[in-house]
Amino acid sequence: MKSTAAKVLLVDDTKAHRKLIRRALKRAEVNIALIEAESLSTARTLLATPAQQSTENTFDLAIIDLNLTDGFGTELVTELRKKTEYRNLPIIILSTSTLESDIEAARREGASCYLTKSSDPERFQQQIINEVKRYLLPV
Amino acid sequence: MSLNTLLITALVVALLALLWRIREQRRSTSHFLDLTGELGHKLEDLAERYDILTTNLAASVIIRNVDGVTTFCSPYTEVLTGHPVGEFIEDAGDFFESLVVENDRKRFQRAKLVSGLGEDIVVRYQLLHRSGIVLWVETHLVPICDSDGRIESVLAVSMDVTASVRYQQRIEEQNRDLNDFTYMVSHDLKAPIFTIKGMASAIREDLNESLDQESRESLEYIIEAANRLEALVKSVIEYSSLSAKEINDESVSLELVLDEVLNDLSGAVKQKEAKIGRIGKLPAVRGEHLRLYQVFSNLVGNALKYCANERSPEISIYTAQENDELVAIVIQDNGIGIPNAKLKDIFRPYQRAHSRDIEGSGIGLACVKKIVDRIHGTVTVKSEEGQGSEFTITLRKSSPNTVRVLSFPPSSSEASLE
Repeated sequence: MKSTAAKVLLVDDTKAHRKLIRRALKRAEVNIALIEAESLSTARTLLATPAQQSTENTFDLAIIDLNLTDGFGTELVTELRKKTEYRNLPIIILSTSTLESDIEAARREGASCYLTKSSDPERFQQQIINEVKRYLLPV
Repeated sequence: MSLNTLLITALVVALLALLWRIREQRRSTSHFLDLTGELGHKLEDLAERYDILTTNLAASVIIRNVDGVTTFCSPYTEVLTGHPVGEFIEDAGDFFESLVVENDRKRFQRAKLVSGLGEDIVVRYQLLHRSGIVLWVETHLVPICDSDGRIESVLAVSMDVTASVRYQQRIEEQNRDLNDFTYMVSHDLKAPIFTIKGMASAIREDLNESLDQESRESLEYIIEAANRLEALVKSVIEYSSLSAKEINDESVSLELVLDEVLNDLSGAVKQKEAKIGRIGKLPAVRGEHLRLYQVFSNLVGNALKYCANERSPEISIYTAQENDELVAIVIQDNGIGIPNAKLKDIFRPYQRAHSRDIEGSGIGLACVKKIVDRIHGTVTVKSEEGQGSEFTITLRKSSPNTVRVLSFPPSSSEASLE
């Protein structure tokens, strides 16, 4: 665990959904530096910045929406898993879909967890908090 | 193409092969035998029938012998291909084969080869009509043997199946559309609902103290409507995916299904103080466990949901009729019943018999019907408003042997007894 804030990447094309996730993260009582991207391409740019090469600056958690305007969140998962520094990065895939095919695809590409956005808001918030704590707090 | 059409085609092809043999027989024997007798008349008669059949059949009949000579070509061949019969008879090669579109020709040749070796074969391919139109054609190739059992000719019966192929393509396209639709609903329609619910909940959380009664109530209506919308979307996905997905045909214990259903509904049973009567044991049937769970869960769930205010629900589940193949199961309740006018539409999707204030998507019974249809069963309803409803599901029974083998593999002691 780093003494500085944990760096979390959030990729979601819906502004309102980013706001809801931001609210949930605030309630997690974890020191988080949140970096937001509204598309795959912005996320790719963020990940390619040379400064990210040093371990101090790599992300500690990624929360990625499945269905984005410029592609699927799973594409980013595949790309992240190819980078040595992100082979073990906790990745949460978010989606409104409960289709088995979507959940299976996320698992296959290497996501750590799949959360549906369709459950009730309080429960969704609690799920985000649980996952974030699970991945970012020392055991 | 339907099974019926296929059966009729197969019969016609077999009959043609037989009649051709008789006709040839008559030709070859007429030099030696006196055919003025009864046998001669019979042969004459059959040969005539062959001619009538091949002349009037809406299919092309071509017979080529092992040397590749076309010995017979029926008049319909001209309708099918646009080329006069003479062209087929006179051509030294296989004129018919030259009309098969390039991409399918290899397949056609392979089928010819197989039939030349003595196998019946059906081949479907595209054929260029003289007019320039490309048709889908299906050809049944049947080898014909001489009296020594040697293959002497191959009979080819070809039909225009363009309409049925197009129909199949349209069905496939519709299925694809349906899948796209399900996907769209799952993603795009659910996202705004998530926003509405999330934001409404955020406002409630942030402002609960400062909101007056009026605003709090308005907020609750927003949340309620979003919940209803979400349930509707879920049911639309469920119903449309029922058409697309395969349903297994396995042996399912209805006792087990009902145990699970009642267990999962135990909360509602307790809350409504309902009495559930299970009379006798339910048999094992053909179908898929999950789907039959959905059927019973819907029917028992409805019986609980649409109960009358003045009396506690009483639900009976029993086998009403049974023979070697089928079993009829009744789910009877003393609830509010279904108005007569609504009864005929009750299994159609998005139809609701009662007020929209009773939560429901109008899809439950449509799902029941769709599942039961797809496992070759039936569902019927009798109801009297204010008295109660009675649903009867008829399902195919699973033979006792299959159940035993599927659920309990024989132990070694049992095996040694046999």
